[in-house]
Amino acid sequence: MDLALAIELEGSRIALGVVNRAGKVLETEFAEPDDSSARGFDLLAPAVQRLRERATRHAGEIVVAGVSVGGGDDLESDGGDDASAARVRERLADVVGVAVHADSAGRAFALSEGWVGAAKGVDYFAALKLDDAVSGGIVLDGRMLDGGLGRAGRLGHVIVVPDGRRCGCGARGCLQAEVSIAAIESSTGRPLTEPSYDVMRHVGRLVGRAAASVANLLDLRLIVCGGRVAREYSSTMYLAAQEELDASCRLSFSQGARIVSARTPEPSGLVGAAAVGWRGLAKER
Amino acid sequence: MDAVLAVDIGATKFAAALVDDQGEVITRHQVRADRERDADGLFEQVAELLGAVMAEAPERDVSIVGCGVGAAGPITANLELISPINLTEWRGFPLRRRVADTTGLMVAGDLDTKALALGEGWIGGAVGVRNFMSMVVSTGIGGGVVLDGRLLEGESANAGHIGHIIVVPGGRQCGCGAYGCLEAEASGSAIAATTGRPPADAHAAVVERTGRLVGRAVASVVNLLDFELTLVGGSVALGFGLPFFEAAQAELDANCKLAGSRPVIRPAELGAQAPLIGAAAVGWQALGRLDPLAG
Repeated sequence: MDLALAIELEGSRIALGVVNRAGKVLETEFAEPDDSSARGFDLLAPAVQRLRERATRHAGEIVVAGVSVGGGDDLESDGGDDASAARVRERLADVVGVAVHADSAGRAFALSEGWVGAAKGVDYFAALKLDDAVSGGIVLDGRMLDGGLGRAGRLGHVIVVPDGRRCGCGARGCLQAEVSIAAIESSTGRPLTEPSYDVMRHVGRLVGRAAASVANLLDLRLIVCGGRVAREYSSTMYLAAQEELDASCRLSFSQGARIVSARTPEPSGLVGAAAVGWRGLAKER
Repeated sequence: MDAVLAVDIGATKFAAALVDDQGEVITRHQVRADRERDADGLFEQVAELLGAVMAEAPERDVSIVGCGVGAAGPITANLELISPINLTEWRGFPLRRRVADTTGLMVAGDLDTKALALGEGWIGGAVGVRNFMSMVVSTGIGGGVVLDGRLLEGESANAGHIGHIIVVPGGRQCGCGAYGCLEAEASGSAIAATTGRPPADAHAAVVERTGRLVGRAVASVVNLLDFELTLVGGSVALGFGLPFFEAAQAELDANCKLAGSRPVIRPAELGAQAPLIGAAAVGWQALGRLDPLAG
């Protein structure tokens, strides 16, 4: 049985796993290297070796590695050298010994939702991940959109508040500048976990506004939302987002657009990373 | 010589032409949509137009091998049904079948702005470009996006409706019913309604604001989809000219700051014939005779 090695890089945390073709996570390893700046790639080797051995328990062999790289879509601009997906890919290939495919956490999230989550079997949807960074991916006409540099799907940089808060990317009023965890905490002066009702609704409205623009533009009617902000704010946020969608998706083809919560089983980040690997393998062939 | 019958169904006028496989327009006719007429009456205008163009084929030694149509949206795939926002007489109008019945030709259709994108990729300002958007700023605002070398379709073939990106939250009500869409703020009809004069007589401040709002919408799309080139045509954008494009580019530069992002917005290159060349591209593509995006 062919298996994928899944690697999720999120902040200083590294999760690894072995995932089969059906999206089931069979084995996991977690590492939290002290030296986060180096991302501890060298420390990965023993973990990878352990997983490789354990893969044999499932009568399987690791044929590809997929990496999900957190930190947002603007990796090279503010993530430092090590965060570049291409660089991660190069350095990891030596460690894991099979072809490595890397992509942003937002795009990995979109792939996982289309594979085993809320958009399973859907050929047209956008996925939006609300964390420290706000990222995403778009599947249209049955394919995930890549774009010129392979970074299409950056819902976090749709402008939702003209001349709004300064974003990490340098622009103003991007969705990420308004509703990332850092943005919410700094504008409210409270931790993410202690929001007021109004804050949760405000975040929902802005999420809905970006989602509506995307639905109108691309002729799609499903937006899958995940990440810590979505989990914390839950139905209050979703309701406000859905109201905004209902108000702004008025074209014959965008009416009825829905925003739903992610459904990829945990550990969902590893499922996303594996999806990146499988997609890369399919493209290679 | 082989040619396709190219048809452009706009909100204010209908045009038809014979176009060869190099994108050369051999003959062209157009007529103003007579808004006094009902749905069938409007189509009679189209039928007369098509008859006039087809009648010229023999004398020009042209053999008409198929028909490509571009129409204002929303549409259903292949223009089986069209419901142009600004042409209210047609709601769910079966355009493709009616054109096929009238002409006896193989008819393929698409959203006019998607057809334009194909045209620009075929022989216009985006030849050989794998990722770009083309848009029209005239009575309404629309677009077509080519990404990864393919024209984006969307679930019901309507991808590219950039006119309904929200650029002014809580702004003017749009024809679609939402508030603050680009089309409600920056289209020719919006400018006429808010300033009380036609776009051709717009003040410099209106030109600048229109450019800025178009730039804002394009910036969101560039950030979202990761491409560089946007081509803009349409009477309002081209009529406003340089100050419009400078304002749009400045807004793009201010809002597209992601690594490696070097967005450019500039005039579309196919000029007044663009809609017909785009329609022809749809026709030739459907005939399997050429791939407009092959570069």
